[in-house]
Amino acid sequence: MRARGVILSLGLLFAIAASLLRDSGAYEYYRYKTGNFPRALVTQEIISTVRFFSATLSGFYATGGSLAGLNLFPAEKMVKRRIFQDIDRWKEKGELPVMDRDRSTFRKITFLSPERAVAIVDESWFIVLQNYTTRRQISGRKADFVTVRYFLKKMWGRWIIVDYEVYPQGEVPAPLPADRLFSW
Amino acid sequence: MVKKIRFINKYIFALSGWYLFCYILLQASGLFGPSVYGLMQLLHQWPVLSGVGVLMGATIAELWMACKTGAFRDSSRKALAVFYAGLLLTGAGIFVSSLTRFEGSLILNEGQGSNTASSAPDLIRLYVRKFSRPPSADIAMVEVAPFPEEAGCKTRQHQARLLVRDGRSWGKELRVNDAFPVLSNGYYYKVGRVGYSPHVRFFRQGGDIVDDAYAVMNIYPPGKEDSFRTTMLPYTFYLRYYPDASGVPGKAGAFAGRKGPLYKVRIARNLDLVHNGYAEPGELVSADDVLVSFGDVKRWAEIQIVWDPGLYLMIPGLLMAAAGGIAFIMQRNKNARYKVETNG
Repeated sequence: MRARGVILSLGLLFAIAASLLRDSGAYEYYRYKTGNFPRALVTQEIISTVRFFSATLSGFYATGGSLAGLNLFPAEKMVKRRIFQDIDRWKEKGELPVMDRDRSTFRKITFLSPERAVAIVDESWFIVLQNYTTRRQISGRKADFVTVRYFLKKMWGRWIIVDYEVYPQGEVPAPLPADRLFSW
Repeated sequence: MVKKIRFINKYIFALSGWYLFCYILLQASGLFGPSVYGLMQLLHQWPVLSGVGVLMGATIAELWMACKTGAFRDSSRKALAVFYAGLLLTGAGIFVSSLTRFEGSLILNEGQGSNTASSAPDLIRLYVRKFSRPPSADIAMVEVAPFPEEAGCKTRQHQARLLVRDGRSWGKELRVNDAFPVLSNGYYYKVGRVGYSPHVRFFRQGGDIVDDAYAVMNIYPPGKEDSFRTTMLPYTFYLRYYPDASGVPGKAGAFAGRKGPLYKVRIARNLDLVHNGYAEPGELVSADDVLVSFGDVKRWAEIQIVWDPGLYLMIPGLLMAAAGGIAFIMQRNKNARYKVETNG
């Protein structure tokens, strides 16, 4: 009877040890699953990341694509590429949209794992078209009310925006794309 | 001496079996990481392989000692020998599988073909082990059966008809579905995801077509949203497809009473939403200076292709182990009953 107890405990212990050794993030994940995860602190980190993303993004547009701050910009390569591709297209036409964020309201932040999160944010932007060389305003002010679903991943110790989806404000975002969530 | 080894071996056998059970259960529970692996990928992890190795060692030792002491003359022990042999076969199958398994995915529109061995293949290599043998064949999608939601269709299964041509066969037709894999020339074929590919056309302002393709999108079942991007444009195109517009929620204006297929199109340039509305098939949609149209749709299916010689050992091994285990328990109960009757 005693031997049976020893075998049961040892087997379970070995299985837990192997699970922890196999993946370096296993302990973090275990803490997240069992509720020992600093959710409030990480939520704040995510809010700051999204705010910093918006502020730097409008900076890129306002400066006509200046690369200052690009290394600190919390976005994945393809997200950065699309922003600069857009700025270059406008510059070719001799124009530049200057984006100014008015308000961000965080509607929901969901954690998929300790290293992956989804943030739904209601944002209002004002966009003005300027002449690229004279910087004179050439259009009226366009109000852009959107709901953005940001997909974030923790990489190299900081949160990075790996992708985002844009919806008109008030629209319920589509269900999370389950097949893509863990491929980022 | 043999008795002593047998005593220790019994505990090693029990410990490794229990450890494997706990490990697989812990991984499947998602307590130490997201459970995104398939069963076979889980079995190929080093903690499982090491446990299987120990279990196989203990099984071999048990078989050797039983043969030496002549324990298998008893009929219940014979059943136990079958059980052990089944375990060994299953273990060997797991090791062979961990070295050879190949998992791939091929997404094809109706009427589209692909050579899986070409230098720029459409075949996505999802899981490749050291001695894997990816398929080398021409595969053509002859037909994707109408989806259950489409008019006049009663089946709940997704089916596809393929034409497979490899070194051994010349245009063998395969009917595959999403329930059971079909075996052909050592490869298992099964239908994975299915969906619609809308005919996407990009135009210049003058009307010339710049780009023209059927874009494979995850817009099935009707109303499900997916998006695509092109490398040359900073836009994201979000699309929903309704084969019958009469039940589309929230459509208004010109589309309010409309029947037939309809798209819901949303276009965003980075964070700027530049278009949001409905469009009929073939209708031009403009966003900034981009002109795009979404035409007819083709059905597409994802064909999952698996090559795994380890399965030929694992499946008979599991059957043998199950049969041996059941026979052993039945024989033991019979013996116990016989003893009670003779004592009584």
